[in-house]
Amino acid sequence: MSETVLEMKEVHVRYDTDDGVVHAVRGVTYSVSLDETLAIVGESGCGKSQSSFAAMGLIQPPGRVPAGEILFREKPGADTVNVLKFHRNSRQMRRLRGGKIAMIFQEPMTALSPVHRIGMHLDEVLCLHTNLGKQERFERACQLLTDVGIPDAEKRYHQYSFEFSGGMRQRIMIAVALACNPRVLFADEPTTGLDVTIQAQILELIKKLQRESRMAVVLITHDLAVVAETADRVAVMYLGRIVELADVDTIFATPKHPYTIALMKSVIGSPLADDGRLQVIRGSVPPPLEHVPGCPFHPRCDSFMPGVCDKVIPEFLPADEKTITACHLYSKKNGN
Amino acid sequence: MPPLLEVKNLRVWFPKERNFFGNPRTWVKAVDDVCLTLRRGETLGLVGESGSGKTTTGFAILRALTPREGSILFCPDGRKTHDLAAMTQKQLRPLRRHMQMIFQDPFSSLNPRMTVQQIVLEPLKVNGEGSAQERKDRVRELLGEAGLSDQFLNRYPHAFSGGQRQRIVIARALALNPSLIVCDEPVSALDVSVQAQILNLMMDLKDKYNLAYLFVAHDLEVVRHIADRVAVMYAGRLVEDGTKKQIFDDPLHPYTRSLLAASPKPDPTGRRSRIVLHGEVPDPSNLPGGCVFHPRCPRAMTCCPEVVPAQTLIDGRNVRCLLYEERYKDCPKLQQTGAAEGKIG
Repeated sequence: MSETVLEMKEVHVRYDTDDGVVHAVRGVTYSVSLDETLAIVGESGCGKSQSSFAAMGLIQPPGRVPAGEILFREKPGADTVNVLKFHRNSRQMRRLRGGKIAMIFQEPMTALSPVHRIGMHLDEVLCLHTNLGKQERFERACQLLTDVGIPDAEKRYHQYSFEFSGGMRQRIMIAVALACNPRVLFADEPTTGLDVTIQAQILELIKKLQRESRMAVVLITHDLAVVAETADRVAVMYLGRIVELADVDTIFATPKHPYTIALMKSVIGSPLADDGRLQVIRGSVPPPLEHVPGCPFHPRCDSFMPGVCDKVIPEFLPADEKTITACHLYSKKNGN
Repeated sequence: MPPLLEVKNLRVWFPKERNFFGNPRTWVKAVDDVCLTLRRGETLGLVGESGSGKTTTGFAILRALTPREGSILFCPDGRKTHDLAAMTQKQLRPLRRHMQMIFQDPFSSLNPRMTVQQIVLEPLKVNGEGSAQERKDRVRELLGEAGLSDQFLNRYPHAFSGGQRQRIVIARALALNPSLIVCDEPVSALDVSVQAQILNLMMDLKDKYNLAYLFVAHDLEVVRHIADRVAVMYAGRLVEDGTKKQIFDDPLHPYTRSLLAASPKPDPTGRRSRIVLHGEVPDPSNLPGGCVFHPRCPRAMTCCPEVVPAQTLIDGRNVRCLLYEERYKDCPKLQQTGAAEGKIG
């Protein structure tokens, strides 16, 4: 097993707003190693993007990260540093962000500046993180554009984002993220909104670049089909917590947590789904300001145990040798 | 009995550039020569990438757009057939109640200044259905059908989640007992677990009211679940249509094959080699000659850039590809760079 590059320990993210506290991430723990793809799955609002923003130092007031550790190993064999110790605008954080920890943002339409040429986006990253001269940066940028499959790079370098199609814009985002050979790449819904044939191209591209430049990829998505095709391990999130973590084959074949089971059954074409009517999860995700005592999933859970699930928050513990889950059904103390 | 809907050689072209006299010089061929048949109580899935003209086809069938050519034969009551393409908007009005639409984005298809009651009531009011009290009772009944409790009657759309809004849209579409509903990507904006709820609801309502859906979607797994028959579009043309089993288990057209291969399956055991299509959908104002798919086609032949494929009937399904035409099928393979190639996924 290769070396761990990034480790999250009990990370919390909360937003103190005038209307109340939104506890977006409530203790997320995972680690990701070199050459590995970890997928973080969940419905909208479950905190999957927020947890990665914390690692990028992108949580802005009124948001803050009140607790937890994010340990990042910059070079092989080096000691880890706790990214959360750095202020988001500090020199150390700015050196890491975009350089060694990079991100492909959702919606390339809004993530690229409409008033700057495509080349500027690449030049900016290279200028901040390398010592290359002007001409070298131009050459490196063109090389990056070629690597991500944009033909005619020297001409395209001078064009604006609106002159590119959705798939091409996503390729540019990837080029920007990979400009400085990051160790960890967060891909936040990299293919949402793209057509299937373009989606296949982009996923292939990320895989190919991961093999070539050796990095850890954290793939954030709500699309279980994309997860099944690309991930090595899967973390399922619900209401700011990871409820289950296992390798991809295990989680699709034998999900443990009731939420994961229900989610798998509601996805068309998954091994657990029936051909006729789709299984649905009762109720809906509670509004962000609402506080659910005990296990966050208990109001919608089919295996709800009164007196336990609505009182005690389940710990995130191994259910067997392959799966870690946060559910009272599997904890020894309350074993069913 | 004639089918509910029969679309023949539909063309929707938009003028792009005009000459000195204001006559169109070049056209954006959004829909070109599309033929479809939809029977009562049947779901036809219309799939394709963005820009392939599937939404435009749906809009043209409802005459939200005027087609340039072709006929749209609509027969709501099983007796009289109307050609929607040749009618004026005024003549269409009495027929409108038989055809409804469910839109893609439930956040923009509901008026934020109207309450749920007003939204669902509006079609009844416009068509003068029943008395005021009867209409109100009908609204309660419709919301119940769509799985919403009537305590929401006086709330505004902003108070609802995406899935609930889509239920309001469905209740509104059902208000006048239509026989045809055009659904334009009804679940693509929703989370998976909510998607399942809405799809189940739509299937129940279809059985209950014998509805026919023209289900426009880009998600092949959703179409596989809900459709009886499937039509595949590419760059404004129909490339293949047949039963769900034919299209998904034994696709004939190279585009259908690569589309199915590119679509990810939520099953990690099924990871396999897949055909990755290179390039993108062509610009509809500047389509390649001959078969529109030939620049990306892994099986293109030397005749493909010249000859427009005709509709060929094979085992009850229609394919438009020269590979299946007697005259051309033995042409030599076209040597081209950048077309699809097999890859290990």
